[in-house]
Amino acid sequence: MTDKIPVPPVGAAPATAEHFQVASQRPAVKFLSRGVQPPSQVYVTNQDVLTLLAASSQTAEAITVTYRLLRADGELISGQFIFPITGDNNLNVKSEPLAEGFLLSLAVQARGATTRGQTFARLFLQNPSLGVLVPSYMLMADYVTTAMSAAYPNGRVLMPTEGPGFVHGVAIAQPAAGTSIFIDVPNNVRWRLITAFGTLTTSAVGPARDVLLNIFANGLVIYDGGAGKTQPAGVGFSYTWAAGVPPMFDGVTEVIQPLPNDFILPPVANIEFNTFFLDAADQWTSGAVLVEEWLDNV
Amino acid sequence: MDNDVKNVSGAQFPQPPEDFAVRSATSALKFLTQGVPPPFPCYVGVDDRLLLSGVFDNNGNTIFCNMRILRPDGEIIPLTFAFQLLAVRALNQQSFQLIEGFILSCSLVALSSTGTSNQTFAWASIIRPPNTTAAQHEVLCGGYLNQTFPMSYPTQPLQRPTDGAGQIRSIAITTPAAGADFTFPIPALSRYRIISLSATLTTAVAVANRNVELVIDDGANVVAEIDSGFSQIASLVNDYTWMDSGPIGAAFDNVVVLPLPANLILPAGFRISSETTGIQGADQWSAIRMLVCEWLDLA
Repeated sequence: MTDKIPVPPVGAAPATAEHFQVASQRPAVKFLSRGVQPPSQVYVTNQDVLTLLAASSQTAEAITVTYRLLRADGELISGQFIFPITGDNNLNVKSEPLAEGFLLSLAVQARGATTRGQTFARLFLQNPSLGVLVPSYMLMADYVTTAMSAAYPNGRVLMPTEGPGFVHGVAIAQPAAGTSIFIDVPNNVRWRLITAFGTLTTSAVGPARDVLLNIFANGLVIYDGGAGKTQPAGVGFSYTWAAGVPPMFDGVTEVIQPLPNDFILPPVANIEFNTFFLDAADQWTSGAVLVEEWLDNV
Repeated sequence: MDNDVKNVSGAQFPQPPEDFAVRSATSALKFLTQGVPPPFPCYVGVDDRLLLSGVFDNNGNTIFCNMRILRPDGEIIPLTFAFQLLAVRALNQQSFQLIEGFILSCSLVALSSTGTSNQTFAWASIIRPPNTTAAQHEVLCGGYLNQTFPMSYPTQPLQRPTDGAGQIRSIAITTPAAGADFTFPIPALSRYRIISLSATLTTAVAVANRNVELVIDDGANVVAEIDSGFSQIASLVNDYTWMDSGPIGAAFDNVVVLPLPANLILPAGFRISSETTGIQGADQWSAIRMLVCEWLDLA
């Protein structure tokens, strides 16, 4: 362009069109501007409903689905619905009827989940006459979070057990004196058990206590790990089971024992610090596990 | 490539089509050259805006978003949006007005170098009024960025923040005051896999046995205690190294090698600390470093 860039004074009329001429070479290809094909592969029939299947471990969770639909009359409409999700890892189902047209895009966001492994959503088109919850066109299936809203197109169709999970510590409820501590893997959840920790303070009486970490799945023992060291009366010991570490006792109060690497536990598996010769006044405290968690069977 | 002397812009232009004449057999199919349907399905409505979102872990950066839009009049408009990331370890967002048409391509690239000390994750999406984060209705592209290899639509699968191999980083932990233990909280919007941790304890002349252990907690609950099993006496400089699935080694040449849980991934808010029983007022922890693999876990 040979002209100087115009700088209009405040309040001046818009610049004339010749200032915005395209000065480079013009393309030979001419694109349609009328009678354009709908820009989507997803045709929505009159019978189709948009169905959301979602599960979450987060309380007060809600999923926001935002979509754009090109109606049969050529009008582009934007729709959104917000669906509360129970935080009990169980599947929630919501169906949203759509108008006939073409689904251009769709995005999903969570209100509570901040990382993968917490809230899983699966979205598909469904014709109810073909059966209950039978997808006719799968749109997306992935964990959803508060900021980034991946969906259709450009999203993924994954199983809930794929990819990184939700790493967090879970405190074990302190039991009454004289009883051992335990924790269950929640329903519809899979845990990678990284560490298990607890402190046992023994009363002044009784024989040496013998601590074991027992893990059960479907009622069967799948891991039976001894502490390798008995605990006498009147002391406090800390026990750490951790993936991939060698066994060790520091000669004072610290016991370390191994867990298998990548130790994945199925839903409702049971983790117990079993204690032989436990006295009625013995007390387990500070129980906690470090786990990576995925939703499963949802 | 010759210059077109008839054009006032003085720009370089491609050779005319006759310079590319096909000498071999021509194809049977004939493609449209007039009335061609828009080649990509991402339609931008009159209300739609571009939302750029990003987060970084260390140094601020500027993200360039290059986009081509096919306007309704058939003109292809190249657009460049510059988006400054200013707030560290926080979600940065900015929206830009678009024009009606079809997005043909979109790419994201970082202005400043990214690497082992400066991760940047960003994505581009389309929003509608009220232009809030919840009004995103299509995500175009996103992932970890660098200066040379852009993330792009429509050719690349969308990357999520916890995807991929992560960034390997060596992190210095602040040296505590004499007589105090060190602690390191995993920073906001981060996920660390702890590969190793190394530190030096220099004991003063005060006579006592110092017993070192590494404590991992979630901010409230201890989830592991890794004891050294070694009593460090007065006036001794001893190195401690904890490593993924390491052994429990006896002290040798003033070095103790100890294990970390295998594949130990810690999210924001967790802490990794030393706990030194019998520490004296003039004892000093120093040279504390971690090797980690980091992801920006920004939801």
